[in-house]
Amino acid sequence: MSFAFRNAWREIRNSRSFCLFYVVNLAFGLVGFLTVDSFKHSLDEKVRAESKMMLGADLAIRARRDLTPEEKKQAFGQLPEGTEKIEVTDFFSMVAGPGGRSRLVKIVAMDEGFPFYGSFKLKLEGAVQGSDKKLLHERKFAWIYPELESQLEAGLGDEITIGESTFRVSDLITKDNGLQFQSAELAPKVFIGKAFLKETNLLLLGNTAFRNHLFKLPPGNDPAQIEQAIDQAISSPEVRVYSHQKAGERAGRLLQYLGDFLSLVSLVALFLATLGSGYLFHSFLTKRTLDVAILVSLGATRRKAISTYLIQLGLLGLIAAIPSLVAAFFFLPLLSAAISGIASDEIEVFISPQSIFMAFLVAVFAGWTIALPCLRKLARLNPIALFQEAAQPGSQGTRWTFLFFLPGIVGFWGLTVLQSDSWKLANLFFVALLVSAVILYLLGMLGLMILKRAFGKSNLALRFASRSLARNPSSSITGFLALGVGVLLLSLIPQFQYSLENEIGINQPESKLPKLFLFNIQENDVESLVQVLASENKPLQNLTPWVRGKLLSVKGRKYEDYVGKDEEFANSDDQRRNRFRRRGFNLSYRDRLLESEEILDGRMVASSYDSNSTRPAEISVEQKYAESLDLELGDQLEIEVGGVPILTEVVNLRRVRWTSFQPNFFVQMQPGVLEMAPKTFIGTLSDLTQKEKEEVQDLLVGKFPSMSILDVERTGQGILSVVKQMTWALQVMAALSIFAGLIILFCVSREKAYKQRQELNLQKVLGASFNHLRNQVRLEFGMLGLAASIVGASLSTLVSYVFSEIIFDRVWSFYWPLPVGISLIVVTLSILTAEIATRKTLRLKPSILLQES
Amino acid sequence: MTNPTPPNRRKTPLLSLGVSFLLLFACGESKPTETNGRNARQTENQLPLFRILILGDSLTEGYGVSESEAYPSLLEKKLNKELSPKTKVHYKIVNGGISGATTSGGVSRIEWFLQSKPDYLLVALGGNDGLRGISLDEMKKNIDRILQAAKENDIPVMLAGMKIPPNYGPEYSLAFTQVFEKLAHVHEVPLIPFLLEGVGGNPKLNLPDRIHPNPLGHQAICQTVYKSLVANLN
Repeated sequence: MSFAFRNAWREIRNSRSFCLFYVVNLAFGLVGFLTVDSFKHSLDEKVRAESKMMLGADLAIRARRDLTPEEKKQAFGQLPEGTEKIEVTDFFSMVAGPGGRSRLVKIVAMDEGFPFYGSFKLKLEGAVQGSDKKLLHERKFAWIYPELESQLEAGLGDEITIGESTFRVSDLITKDNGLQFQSAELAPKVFIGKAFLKETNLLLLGNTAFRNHLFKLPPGNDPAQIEQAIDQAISSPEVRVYSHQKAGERAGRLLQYLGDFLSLVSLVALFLATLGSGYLFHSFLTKRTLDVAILVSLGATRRKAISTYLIQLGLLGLIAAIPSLVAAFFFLPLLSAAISGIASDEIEVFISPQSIFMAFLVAVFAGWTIALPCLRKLARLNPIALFQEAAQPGSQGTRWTFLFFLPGIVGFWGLTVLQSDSWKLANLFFVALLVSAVILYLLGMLGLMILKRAFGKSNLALRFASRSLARNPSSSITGFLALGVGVLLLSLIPQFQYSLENEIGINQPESKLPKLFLFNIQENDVESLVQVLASENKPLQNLTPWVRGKLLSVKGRKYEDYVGKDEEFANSDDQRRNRFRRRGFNLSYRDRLLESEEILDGRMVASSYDSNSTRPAEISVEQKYAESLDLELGDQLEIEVGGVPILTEVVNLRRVRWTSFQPNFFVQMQPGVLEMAPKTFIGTLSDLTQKEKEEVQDLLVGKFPSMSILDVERTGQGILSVVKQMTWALQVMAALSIFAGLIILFCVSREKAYKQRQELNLQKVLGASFNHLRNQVRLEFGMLGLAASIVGASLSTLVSYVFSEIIFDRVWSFYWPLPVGISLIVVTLSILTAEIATRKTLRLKPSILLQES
Repeated sequence: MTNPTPPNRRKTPLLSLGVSFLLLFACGESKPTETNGRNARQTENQLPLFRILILGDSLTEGYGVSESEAYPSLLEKKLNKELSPKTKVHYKIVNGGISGATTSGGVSRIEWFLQSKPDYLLVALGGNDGLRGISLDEMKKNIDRILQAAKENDIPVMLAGMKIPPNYGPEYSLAFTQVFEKLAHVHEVPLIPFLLEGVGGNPKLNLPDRIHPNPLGHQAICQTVYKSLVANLN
């Protein structure tokens, strides 16, 4: 056993208190990190599973025609061996019930095995997997949505006519998965076996049926990569290729937010885990520097001294990592069980090998890199300093001191990139923390300078407290930095949680979410429709005019010159952006915002328009639509409505929470301009039971046949389920990070208080009373905590704002109780911790403390 | 920023349309010399202006193609190039196509459009009714009201027939087609049997969605409409 190892082991045994504290602190941090990291992986899995269920497969090829043999060869050639394939055809058709009553439905003719992922929920048979339902493929049976029972007057066992063939209704579908490409369905679905499709004789020349080829890939293949390969192999624009990731894009923005948020939490947990340990080791080594100086003066080499502490840190890291892993193994299943009631679906949380590796990496290497600046002191140690009074050997910095911070900084940057799914997010997080640390350091230095002078003539307790802080600049600044960064990280996650919850609209009661969307309501039907629904006690909500407009020019340029053609755009992102700009678009008018809208820039449109004015009409433009047309405030659009050109000016850019399912429009014009234009109306109905929904649909179809009804409940369920999962993920993650953060703050406060023991003792010897010292400790730590939390919370607000601008599409809501609450908690915690840590010291006789030292 | 609008094309919000609607509506490539009375309107080259309003849906709006590639624009060019020398009138097509429009939307728009007193009306609606499964009785009533409104305003009309893709079922498809035939017969108006003749179901003439025509498809529609128009305008 080498000298360094023996010495390290001796150091561990001789500094049990520090080692225990270091290990416990690191272990807590690691448990937090492991938990968050494992949740992140589990949620990634969950979200992936959700998008697979939306598509019903890993990958799909969809076209309104059969693939040519050549296309099949090209596409299927890209698939790995062992890929399972099935075909499903879907199309709209008029289907008749036994009494001759007909209704538009969506026919889904499926091969056995559909869907690969997810299941059907049937009224009679319950949950049925794709390969379970053989009977549907052997006989001419049909499964129908429940509302068709009344709409077609066809119950279980009755026959319905599809094209030239009849099918017996064998079950009702309450939930289905797969081929969910739209957020709402125009018609209820009817499922039949694909083997019987030919008998319907519906797919004649000119049909508009979609042919879907669904694939289940063997494990270890990335559907997105294969999607790209097939996309390139088949050049026809008629053929669309969907990986499950692309199919899940409907909830894409939310999922992207969730992924970024989880990465952020994971990074925060990672940083918190190293922050507390680094602080502890810094304090420990500062205390040990004198001992090492003595060792060096007795002939030990500096290299051996450094090795001693590197080995000690490595051992402590390993010691901390092992119980953390064991604790996490026990803790995670319990936590999974605890949250299973909150989550919409059960979620299995597991520790991935990647998480275990990261935990060890953080435990050992993070300790080393953070310790480097402290170890620098040992490298520069000159025993002569021992003979200088009150000297801190090796504490004098040089211009190259910062180099010792570099490995830690670079290492942490590497970890953030590894841990985050997004390069942008990792770099932003890293820069934000670095800049915040510099700001905290500078403000801390400034604060100490002010403290030296500000309380010179205050009462004794305040004077002593401020001097104690000012005379120990190194300890005070380190404590301030650790507390400030801790508060920053601590408030960052709940701040995002609040902003994202507002964005996804979880504060909106589910009962308010529309169940039915009514559109194409004629102007002359509005009054009677409102009356009919009111008499049924089902009030029509969100009644909104719907005007169709055409873009004639944008910012003075003719629309067609402005947008160009898709072929002119090199990549598919630009092409998508271009397709977002449509010459024809829907608009409406009102002078107020809905709950789901927020003005990002500019002012609200005026509430009336002077018809004698020659001023352009004021419009509000949705943020993404404005981006697609490169619009800014003051830009002019020429819009044609019903043959009349209208010059308009953008007065605000608006963000819309599309998941609210409220009637929102890309362009909203001020009132007083479009009232006479030809228009229809849209409205919503909410708070309906399944039965009521069917009754209302029947009633409205009969009384207002030209009106169209969309059932947004069933198809919206997928998105809502993601929203629910996201919400509890946000809450659990925020709670975990707060918990981890508080532990770190406790460690920091305790260590700082512990360091004050000798100074307190000296004051005690000089006759200071218990009460005086207690007040002094309270004041000192209160001031430190208050300053750190105010700066930390302010920085956190700023950082969250910057993140929201760059990562979260400007989703940002300020919630003032958060920084205030966290600041109060931190101040109280600092005072309490310091008091607990020093209480024993305060109660001890000075003689005992003198003996200790 | 410069205002792209020429001085003679002042943009006026719709509230003040009571006064200025006719003036505005008549604006286009040609300058109106008078707004009262259709025969008095003349173009710059002194030819009387003859305005044809096409009340339609996305097919007429030119969904997925540029405005100049859509059949109303092509038709205007063709009429002015080939028919104008004979008839000595300048043709102006007013594109009243709106994506997603149904016949009920047509009813609500017809009064608005008729205020401009077009010289001729082509009704090309119904496709979306069929695709949405709207009751054929309702569709029939709506088209009937549109034709009636045109008759009351003394505007000659042509009806463009539509067909529904075969997957909607043989009975519905047949009944759908017959609606147009019956209405044309009852109102004694000329009928284009199928607006998408030769285009519907032909992948070469349609966009990848197989519903909307591509530029070549629009050229074919232009030809179909032109033939019927020439026969009836003469």
